[in-house]
Amino acid sequence: MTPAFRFGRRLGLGLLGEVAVVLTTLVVLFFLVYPTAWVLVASFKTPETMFAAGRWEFTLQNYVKLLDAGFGRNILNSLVLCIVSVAISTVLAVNAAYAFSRLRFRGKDALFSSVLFGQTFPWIILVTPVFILCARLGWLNSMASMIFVYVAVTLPFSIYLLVGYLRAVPESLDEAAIIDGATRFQIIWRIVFPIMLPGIVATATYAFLLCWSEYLFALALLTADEMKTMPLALYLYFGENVTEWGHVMAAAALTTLPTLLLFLPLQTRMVSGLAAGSVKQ
Amino acid sequence: MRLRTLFATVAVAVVAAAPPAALAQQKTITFRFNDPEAPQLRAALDEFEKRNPGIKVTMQRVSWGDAQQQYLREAAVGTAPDVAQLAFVWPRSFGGAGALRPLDDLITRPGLGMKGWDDFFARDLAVGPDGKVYGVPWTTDTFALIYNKEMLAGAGVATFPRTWDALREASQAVYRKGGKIGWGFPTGSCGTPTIWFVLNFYWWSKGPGLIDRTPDGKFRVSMTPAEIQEGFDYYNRYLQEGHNPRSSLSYCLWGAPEIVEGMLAGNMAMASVPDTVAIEIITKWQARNPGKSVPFATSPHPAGTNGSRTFFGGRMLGISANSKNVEEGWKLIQFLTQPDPTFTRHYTNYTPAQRSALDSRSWTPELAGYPEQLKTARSWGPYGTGPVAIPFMWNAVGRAAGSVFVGEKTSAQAAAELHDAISKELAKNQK
Amino acid sequence: MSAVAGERVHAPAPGRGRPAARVAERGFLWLALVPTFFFLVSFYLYPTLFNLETSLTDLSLFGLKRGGDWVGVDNYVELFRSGDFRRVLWNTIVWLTLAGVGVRIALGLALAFLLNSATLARWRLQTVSRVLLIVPWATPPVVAIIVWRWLLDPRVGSINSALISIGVVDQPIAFLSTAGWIWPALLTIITWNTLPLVALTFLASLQSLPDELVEAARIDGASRWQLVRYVYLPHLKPAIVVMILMSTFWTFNNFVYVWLTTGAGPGLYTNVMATEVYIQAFINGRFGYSSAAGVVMAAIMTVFGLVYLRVIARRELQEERS
Repeated sequence: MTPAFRFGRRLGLGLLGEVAVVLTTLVVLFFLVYPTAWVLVASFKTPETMFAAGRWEFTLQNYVKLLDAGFGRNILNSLVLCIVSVAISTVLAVNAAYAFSRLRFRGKDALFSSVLFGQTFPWIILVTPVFILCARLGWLNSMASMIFVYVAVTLPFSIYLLVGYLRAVPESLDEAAIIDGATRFQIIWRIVFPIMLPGIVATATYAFLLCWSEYLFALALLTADEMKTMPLALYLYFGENVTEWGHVMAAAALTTLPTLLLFLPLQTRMVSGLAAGSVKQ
Repeated sequence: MRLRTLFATVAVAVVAAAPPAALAQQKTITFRFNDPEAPQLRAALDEFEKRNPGIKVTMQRVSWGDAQQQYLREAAVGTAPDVAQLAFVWPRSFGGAGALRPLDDLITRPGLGMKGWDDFFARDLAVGPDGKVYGVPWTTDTFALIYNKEMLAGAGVATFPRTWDALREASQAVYRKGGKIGWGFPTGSCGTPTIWFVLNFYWWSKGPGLIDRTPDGKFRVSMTPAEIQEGFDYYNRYLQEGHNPRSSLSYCLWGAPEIVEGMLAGNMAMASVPDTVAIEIITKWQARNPGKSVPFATSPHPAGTNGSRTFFGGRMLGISANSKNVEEGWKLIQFLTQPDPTFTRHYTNYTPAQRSALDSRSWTPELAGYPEQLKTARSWGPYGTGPVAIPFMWNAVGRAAGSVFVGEKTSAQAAAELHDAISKELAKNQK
Repeated sequence: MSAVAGERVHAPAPGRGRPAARVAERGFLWLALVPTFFFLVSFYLYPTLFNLETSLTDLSLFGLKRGGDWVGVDNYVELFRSGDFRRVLWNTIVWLTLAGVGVRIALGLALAFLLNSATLARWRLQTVSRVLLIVPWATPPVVAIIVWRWLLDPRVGSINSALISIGVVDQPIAFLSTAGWIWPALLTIITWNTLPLVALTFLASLQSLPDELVEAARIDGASRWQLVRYVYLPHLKPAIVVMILMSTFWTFNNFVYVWLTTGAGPGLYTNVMATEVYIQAFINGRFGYSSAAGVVMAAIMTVFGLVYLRVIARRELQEERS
């Protein structure tokens, strides 16, 4: 029996308490999911009947029209951009977080604080200078420059999140490995990484979702239709006079889905490696 | 063997010789079009490409809320698209910013529109501060009131009201009759609030509006705080009397789903909308009620001593200052300003911004209010050519009205502050 | 000077002298930090300088090509003197940030504990709850706002009809139109869309708690509350500390939710600093003035961040656990 299991029993929750917990969870999950489920259902209604109370008409045309308009390309762009950016960002953040957390060096405090400095500005005033910079360098409508932007934008908070998680990993493991002659990189990626996996999953999810829904920089730097990411394409369906609700709902559903699909295998890694091995403090 | 080699050499030579000649003439221009009718425009562009074999047109699109800043950013670094669809009031400020190419040398050429440059509406708005022309008016539209005949008749309103007070009374009658919304105009705030339009319709029906030009060429604020307040009070009464519910504070745009859905479900009797939204309401109603006759009709806004005045809205076309394909861009503009084939076959729900073309569009009976309103519509005029930018006024008026509606300020206070803000801005910018 | 005890001093193993260890350490340090700072400096340096300089000019959206004229601190003076500045600050600090962050941390903790509980494991609800937890976060903000506006609508919204049928109220509440309800409604939308981040962060932290610790405490006879207070919360503290900092930064600077839900209105009722910056920059075209407002925002966050890191976080993030 895992201790977590005993947690419930030990508390003397009994059947009533158990049921209460389960019911609370179901209610909470309902609130979490209902709005998006509404969107999903709406994406299968015709725009004419979508907001009508009562009867509605089923259709697949929203998706057909959306994909005809090239939305598949937008999803692909977003996927490639976000996955690559998150991969780079996470690797860099893990290394940097380890350095800040475990090592002692001159200027550490100042450097640690400065990581967050760029994030103190609201993004809306960062967009114009970034655009000017990229335009002068000829970096508009380029996947490479978008990756650069997204890595820079997700790094600070990723580092901070990971520093928080690193606190939970006992340093005795590091020391044992040092005595055995391991390099710091080996320590990070062979020993600490598996233990920190839940934290890394959480950090990567945060970074991915940040990229996935990012609008301002993508708007400024990607003007060619075939380069556009998914949020840009979604906003285009909000016209000044008329909004194309069918496209909006289908696009919203197609936007939410990949994240869930990507997260499904990842969340199994949310169990810590510490549960497997054990190191007495 | 030798014959084959000969053939091959000749073939290679022919193939090698041909493309450079063709490529030398093949030019690709970018056209930015920001409305949802992109597929229809693409069809029109395909025809343009057929008629002009050396030109290819790539379409770009940016959502309207971001389009202004995006264009100005790009123009500043030289990456703006060759031809762009612009809001009606942009060419003036964009021209002043050096973002657009002056078109004076091009508009004199034959082939522009049905009857040339002089036939176009709102040419004054296309002129920059330096007197040069920076845009070509492309489409024009205006707002009119769409109403549910049956709901009004049921409330005892036989003919559609023609004065502001009668309009308010009709709205109240609908509410008294069945608790439904009368005129459900949005009172909420956003970047481009509707209340700006309906307030101006009210003010313009009684005078020149906020900004006017004096005989010596200077601009002045042509309304007193009391006159401004009158407008706030008029629309506030709808909220206070309940026939425009307080929930209208939560939406802001003229085509908001709350309005469309309200009209469709028979919960709202009247709405002030452009023709595209009216068409949407009618089409959706027909889809939900197949075979029944449409209960909607349209009418111009009420008239005051100055008549029934709405604005000429619409879009213009412009060429960017950094464009290297001016000739091709101008060919595209000439093509797009011809009613045929752009407006007759593809972009059919829009009216070209030319006097001769106004009558060329056929309106269904339900939409008869629009051509009637267009007859008495006015240009933005001094609003657009004056020293106070329209976006500034649009935002300031919307915020002032909003603070009255939500109860934060009295209408007198808000009117005084608005008058003050606009006067200051005018004094600051008027040379 | 740095009160960090991040490294233990231990007797060098035979054959591994100090100098070699130090060189390896420095090499690692460079490799670990240089790429990160390369990205950070090259991305943030120019925009920061641009905004600092622009805030001292009258650069306009329409004058991007020709540049702006020097006005010194006029923009800052005008900002601090503006009548609405106090209200905007109040909205941003109290309503948006304090209330928003507070609610999210509290609910996030509760949610994390709930999802970590053994009961769920036994009823095999863990996987599905974790995946469904992500759903609100994966929904784009604009879509979330559309749905919630529909839900909050007094006429057709589900929330009002539910409230009326339960009997809590007998008249529908126009949430986004009634002065007292606008902020709570806005905060509900923001919380719904961003709570999963907080909850997931805490959940990950909880999942990395060694079972032996819980086991040991229970064997010692700890009650549920003692467990929470002496085992779970201390383990969660670094994550909580980081989350408060991140949430504050992110919420204070946030623009999208307020703008798309209420447009900073009605009137200017829900105007926050970020929407004020947007209105000044892109509607009134005053880049100089909006840069000044942005610099003020950055200054506030910098002061907060420095104080926070020095007073609270250093203890939690950098000191050795006893």
